[in-house]
Amino acid sequence: MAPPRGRGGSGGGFRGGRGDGGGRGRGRGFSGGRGGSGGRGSAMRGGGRGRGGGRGRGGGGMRGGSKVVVEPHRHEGVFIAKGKEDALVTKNMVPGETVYNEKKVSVQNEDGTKVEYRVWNPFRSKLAAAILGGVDDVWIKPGAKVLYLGAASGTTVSHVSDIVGPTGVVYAVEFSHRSGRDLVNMAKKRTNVIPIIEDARHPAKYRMLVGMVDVIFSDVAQPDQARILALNASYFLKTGGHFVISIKANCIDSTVPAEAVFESEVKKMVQEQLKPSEQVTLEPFERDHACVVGGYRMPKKQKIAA
Amino acid sequence: MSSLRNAIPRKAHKERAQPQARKKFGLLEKHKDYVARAKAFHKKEETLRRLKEKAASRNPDEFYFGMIKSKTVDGVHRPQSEANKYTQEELLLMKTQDIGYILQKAQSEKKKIEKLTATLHSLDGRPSSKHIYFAEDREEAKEIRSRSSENKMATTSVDVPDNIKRKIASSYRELEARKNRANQLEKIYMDMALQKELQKKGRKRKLREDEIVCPTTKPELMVLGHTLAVGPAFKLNVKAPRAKTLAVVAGGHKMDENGIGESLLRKNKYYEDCPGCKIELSKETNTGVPFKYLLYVWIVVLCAG
Repeated sequence: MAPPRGRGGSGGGFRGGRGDGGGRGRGRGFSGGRGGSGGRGSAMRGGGRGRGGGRGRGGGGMRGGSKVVVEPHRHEGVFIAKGKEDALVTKNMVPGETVYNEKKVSVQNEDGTKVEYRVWNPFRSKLAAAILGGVDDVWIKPGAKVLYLGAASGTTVSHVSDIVGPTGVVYAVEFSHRSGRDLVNMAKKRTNVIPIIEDARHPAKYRMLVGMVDVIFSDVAQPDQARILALNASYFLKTGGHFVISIKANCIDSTVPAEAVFESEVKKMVQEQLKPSEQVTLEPFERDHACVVGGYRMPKKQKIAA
Repeated sequence: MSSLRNAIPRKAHKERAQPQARKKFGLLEKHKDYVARAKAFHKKEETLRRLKEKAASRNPDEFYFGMIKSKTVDGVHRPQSEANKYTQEELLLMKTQDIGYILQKAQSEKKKIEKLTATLHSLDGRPSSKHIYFAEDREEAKEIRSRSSENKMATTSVDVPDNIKRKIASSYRELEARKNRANQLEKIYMDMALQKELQKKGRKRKLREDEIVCPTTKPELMVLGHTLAVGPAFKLNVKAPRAKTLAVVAGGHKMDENGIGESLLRKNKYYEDCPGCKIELSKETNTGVPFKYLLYVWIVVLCAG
């Protein structure tokens, strides 16, 4: 009595597998089975072919373009790369070279020429953060002459030089020798960057190097940055030129809320004939930072026309 | 030969089942079932035989480690417990190593997130930043407003091929998964750090409601490791958002983060264990001439003289 019951669990199960299961399986094989198995096989194959077809279609149109699509951004000279990445890019002026180990994206045109783009990291560049923040106009465009205050190692400067292209010029001012060294090394490969290792507080010292510029970008993070900007603007910025300034609230006054700091800075700028037009916070990328864009000695003709 | 044999349909031999009358004995046993059963039985039989043989030929004077390494509990042999296998220091070291591993993993995950976010800018989403326009007069403001609303309408993405859309989506998914993982690792790290702190010497007590301080900003993991090293008192601030609000209060008092904004000099809270607080409290309560302390000073001066 006991042995058969004990066996019932294992042996019985096994026997069932051989007898009933096998029988059922055979039955399926004879009648509806072929249809079932055949259907399964074809479904798998179909899926595989579908995927392959998709790849083929992509490759047929543009060989290089199948992986990445680059489309122009609202701002001139800035592009958007869509592929594995979904990023802001600029056209690399020195193909094959990176500045800060950023990612490169190369796209092949229809005529077979390759264009290389560099990914612009908004966590490392306030200008990129401002562009992603939806600023209306950065005024830095192909052919522009830009004075860049607080260039640091030249990460953003390299992208600005990409944007302005060979017809534009970037004057990059940096005080620190240590980061200035990287800046100079970067400028060696980019003909449109002029590195200046000087204090931005004393524009008179480098007035011989810099001509009139269309745009001043200031990222000096000093308590008197509005004054520095105004001083440089008075020396180099053309009438009706524009400025872009990034403000770090903590650098100016860490005891009051960031909004109040931005407001006071904007007021200081207005006194210096720098007319701000818009301000964006660089929220997901930097904390308590704002980017203010405006014009210098803007003509008041607009009112008469209106 | 066999193919020829297969050509003629053979009679299908059906398997014999347990007769209805013997149904109560279960399924009918076949030879292969019997073989399996017999093998199992003989294996057990052999084991028993070997054990019996060993017991019979055992030398009663021989030493076995089992004699000292095990105990009989209710006549059953049990290996001695390994509760004190490691000393307290060893355990602490092992825990530190565990924490180190978790921290390393968390940091590597953070690096990967950084790398991914460098190339994933969520360009299609609305920017979360605040946009302010400056206008000189009402007319200009109106113009700007109309222009900005136009811009909002115009922002429609150019259509990209499906395979690229899929790629972007999978990249974002990966980023999200990594963020989750980093969060979990950070949580585990915090828990482990708390456990480690609790193992240290010092008086421990549960914090009261009013003692719990929520930090205004979440501390970074890197910074966190540093603050933990500074002193157990600060850990309280780190732990505050979590359910467990145990803290080690060992010869120090927690820093009041909220107080910084109001005034830096005036203090309202005094802590029992803190010698500095004691002095401040006494200073504040005794406003008269401190004759007692003057007397002490005088005696010390006399002695020195």
